[in-house]
Amino acid sequence: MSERTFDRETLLDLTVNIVPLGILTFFILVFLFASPWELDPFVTAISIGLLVVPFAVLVLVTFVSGRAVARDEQSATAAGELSASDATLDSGVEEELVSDDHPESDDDQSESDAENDESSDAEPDDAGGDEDDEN
Amino acid sequence: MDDQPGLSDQYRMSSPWPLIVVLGLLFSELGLLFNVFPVAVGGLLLFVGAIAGIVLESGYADRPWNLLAGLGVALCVLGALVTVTQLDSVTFDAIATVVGRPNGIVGRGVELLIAGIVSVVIGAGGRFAESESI
Amino acid sequence: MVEAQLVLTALMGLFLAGVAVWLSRIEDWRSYTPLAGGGGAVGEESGYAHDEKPSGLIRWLTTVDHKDIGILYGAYSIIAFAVGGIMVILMRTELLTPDEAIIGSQFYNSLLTSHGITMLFLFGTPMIAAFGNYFIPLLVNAEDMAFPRINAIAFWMLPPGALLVWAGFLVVPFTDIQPAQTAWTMYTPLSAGVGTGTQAGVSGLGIDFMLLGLHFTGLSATMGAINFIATIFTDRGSDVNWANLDIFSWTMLTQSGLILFAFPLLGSALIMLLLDRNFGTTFFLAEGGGPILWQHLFWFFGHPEVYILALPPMGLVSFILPKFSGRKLFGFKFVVYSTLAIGVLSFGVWAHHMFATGIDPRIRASFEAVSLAIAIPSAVKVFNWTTTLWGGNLRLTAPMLFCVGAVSNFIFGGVTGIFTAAIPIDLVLHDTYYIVGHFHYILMGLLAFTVFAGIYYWFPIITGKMYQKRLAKWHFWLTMIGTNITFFAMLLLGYLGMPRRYATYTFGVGPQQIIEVLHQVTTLGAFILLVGQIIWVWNMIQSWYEAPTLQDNDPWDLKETGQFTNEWGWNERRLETAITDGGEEEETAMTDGGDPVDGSADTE
Repeated sequence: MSERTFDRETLLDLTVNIVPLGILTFFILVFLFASPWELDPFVTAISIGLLVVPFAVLVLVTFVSGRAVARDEQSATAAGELSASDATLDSGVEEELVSDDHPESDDDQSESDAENDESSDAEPDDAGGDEDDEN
Repeated sequence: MDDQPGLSDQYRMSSPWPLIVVLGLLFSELGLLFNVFPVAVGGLLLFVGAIAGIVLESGYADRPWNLLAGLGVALCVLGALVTVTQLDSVTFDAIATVVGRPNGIVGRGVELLIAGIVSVVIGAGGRFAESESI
Repeated sequence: MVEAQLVLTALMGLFLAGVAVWLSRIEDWRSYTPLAGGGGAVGEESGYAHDEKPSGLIRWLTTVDHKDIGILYGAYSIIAFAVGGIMVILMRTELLTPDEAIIGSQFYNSLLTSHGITMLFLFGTPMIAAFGNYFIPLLVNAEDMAFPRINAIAFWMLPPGALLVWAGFLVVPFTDIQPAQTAWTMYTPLSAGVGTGTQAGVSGLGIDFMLLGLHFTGLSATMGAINFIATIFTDRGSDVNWANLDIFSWTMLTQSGLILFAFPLLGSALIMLLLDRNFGTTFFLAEGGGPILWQHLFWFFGHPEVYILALPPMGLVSFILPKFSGRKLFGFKFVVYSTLAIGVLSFGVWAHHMFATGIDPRIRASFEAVSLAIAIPSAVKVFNWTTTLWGGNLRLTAPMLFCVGAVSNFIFGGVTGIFTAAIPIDLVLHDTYYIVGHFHYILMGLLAFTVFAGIYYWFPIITGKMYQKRLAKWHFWLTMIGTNITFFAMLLLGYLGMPRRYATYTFGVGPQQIIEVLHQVTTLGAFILLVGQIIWVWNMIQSWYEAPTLQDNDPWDLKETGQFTNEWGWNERRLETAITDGGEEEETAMTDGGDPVDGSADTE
C-alpha cells in the first residue's frame, strides 16, 4: 500500500471525532493561558493530564480503528464485493446480504480471507496497546 | 476461516463443570469471608477440583493430577503467607494461641492451608494410583 | 458452636459427595480418555456435538451453547427486572404521602439500595449480555462464542450473585441481619461499617453479602467481556471484516473493552471495602485513604458503567431503526467512530459525579471539559438516527416504536445530562430528583426501551413465533407515557430542590403542596409502567406458548430493502434444514419452545 493510509472518504468519516478533540484542545489552551487560578505544578499537571490523556488515547483509537476499517474496505473492494462509495456511505449491509449464501463454499473470497486473517492477527495487539494507556 | 482450529471449535454442547466451578468459588468466598471452616475448605476443594476437571475436559491437559497438586501448592503458599504474617514467632505455642482466636486472619490462613494440603494429597495420590494401574 | 461446626462439616461433605455423584451420572468418566489421548480424538468429538445436549433440566444446567446461554441470561435478567420493578413500586407507594405511612424508612432505604443494584448489575448488564450471547456469534458468522465454557461460568456466576445481593431481604425476617442501606453507590464511611447504626456489626452483614454478590456479578461481566472481544476479533466468519462488521457488534466490542477496564477495578475496590469491614484495614477510613478514595475508585468504574449500559442499546437502535425506515443507517461510520470516542472519553469524566465533594476546582474544571466533549459523540448518534428516519419509509411495528421512543427519551436524558456537566448547575442540582430523572431517562428510556425493541425484533428467531401485535402496542404506549410522566415529574421535583433517597418529604418550608402533587404524579407514572410491563410479560409468555409457528423466514420483509442480515440468514438456513430433515422435528421443537425446561428452538 503505497498510497496514504486514509483516503478522502475515510478522513471525512473520521471528522466526527475531531469535534470532541477540538473541544479538548480548546479547554487545554484555556486552562493553560487563561486560567483564573494560579498555576500549581502538581495540580496543573494533573488537570492538564486529565485532558491530554483522553485526547491522546482518542487519537490513537480513532487512528487504529480507522486504519483497520480502511484496510478491510480496500481488500473487500479489491475482491470486487462492493464499490468504494458504498463502503463509506453505508453499513455494508449489502455485503452481509451476499454473505448469507453459504460463505464457506464461496471461492471468490479466499483472497479477502488472507487479508482478514492478517488484520485479525494485528488488531488485538493494537487494541491492547492503546487501551492500556487509559489506565 | 480459522487458521488454528482451537479446542473451542470442537466442543460438546454441554458441560457440567461451569456450574461446579461457580459453586466452588461461591462457597470458598463465603467460607473465607465469614470464616466458616467447613464451607471454606469444602468450597476451595470443589473450586480447585472443578478447575482441574474443566481444564481436563476442554483438552488443555491430559491428566488432572498435576494441575490439582499445583493449585494445592498455590493454596498452601497463600495460606502459609497469611498465617505467618500474623504470628509473633514461628513456634507451636504461637500457632496454637493464634488459631484459637475467633474471626482471626489466621483462621483463613489455616483454611487455605488445609484445603491446599488435601488437594496436594489427592493430586499426588491420583497420579500415583494411575501410574500403578497403567 | 462446636456442634454447629460439625453439622456444617457433615453438610458440606454430603454436598461434595452429591456433586461427585452428579458428575459421575452425567459424565462417563472414561469418555475423557480418548479426548485426553491426543488431538486426533478431538475432531471425532465434534461429529456428534449437536446430539450431545442432554434433555430436561440437566440441559439448562450444563449447556455451553451460546443460544441457550443467551436465553438463560435473558430469563434471569427479566426475573431481576421484575424484582427491581416490584421494589420500586413499593417505594413509590410509600412516597404517595409525605410522611412515613406504608413502609418504614429503613425498609425504604434497603429497597432503594437493592433497586439500583438490581437494575444496573442484575438486569442491565446481563440483559445486554443476553443479546450479545445469542446474536453476536450469528452476526459475525462464528460457530459459537470463543470460550463456550467460560461463557457458561459467566452466566452461572449471576444467580448466586443475585441471591447474595438480595440476601438481606431473604434473612431479615429470621435474623438481626439487615439488608444493605447504603444506596447503590455504597459511599464510605457508611458502607465501611463505621459507627453504631444498622450498617455495622451483625445487622450490617447484609452489606457483606451484597458486596460479595456484586463481586460475583463483576466477575461474570468481565468473563463475558473477554469472550465477546475474543469472539469478535478471532472467530469472525470469512465474510465479516472490520469494514462490514454490524453496528451492534461494534458497540458490544466497545462495551466489552469498557467492562474489561472498569469491572476489575470495581472488584478490587469491593474487596478493599470488605477488608475494611472485616479485617481492620483502613483503605476508606478517615485515618487511612479517606472516604473520597472510595468515590474516586467507585466512579472510575461507575461512569464507564453508564456507557457499558448505554452503548449496546445505542447499537440496538442503530441496528433496528434502519430496518423499519426502509433505508440504511445514515453515516454508519460516524456512529462507529463516535461509539469508540464515547468509549475512550468515558474514562475521563468520572469526577463529574463528585463536583460537590470539594475537590480542587482546577481538577474539577478538567472533568467538566471532558464531560462536555463526550456530549458530542452522543449527539452525533441522535442526528444520525433522525436523519435515517428523515424521508424513510417508516413502518411503525413494535420494535420500531420502541426505537423511536428510545431516541426521544435519550434526547431528554442526554440534554439534562449536559446541563449537569456544568459545575455551577451541578452544584445546585446535585443529589436532587433532577439527577434521578436524568439517569432514569437513560436507563429506562433508552436501555429498557431498546431491550424491548430487541426482544420484539428477534422474537421470531428466538421462539419461532410472533408476538401479539395489539398487546405490544399497548405495552409501548403505556411504557412511553409512563416513562415520561414518571421521570419528567422527577426533573421538576429536582428543580424544586427535592433531595433524592428520602422516604419522607415533610419539610417545614418550601412548596410542600407542589412537591406532594409531583410525587403523586411520579407514582402514578410508575403504576402505568407496571401495567405496561405486566402486559408485556403476558404477551411474551402467551405468544411463546400458544402462538402458531411462524412460517415466514423474513417476518420483517427485510429482503425488500436489502437489510436481511446474518442472523436472519442463519434462521432461514435453520428452518430450511429443519424442513428437509422432516418438518415434524421442527414442529415439536417449536411447540416445546415455551417451556424453559424442555427447551427452545434447538433444531440446528
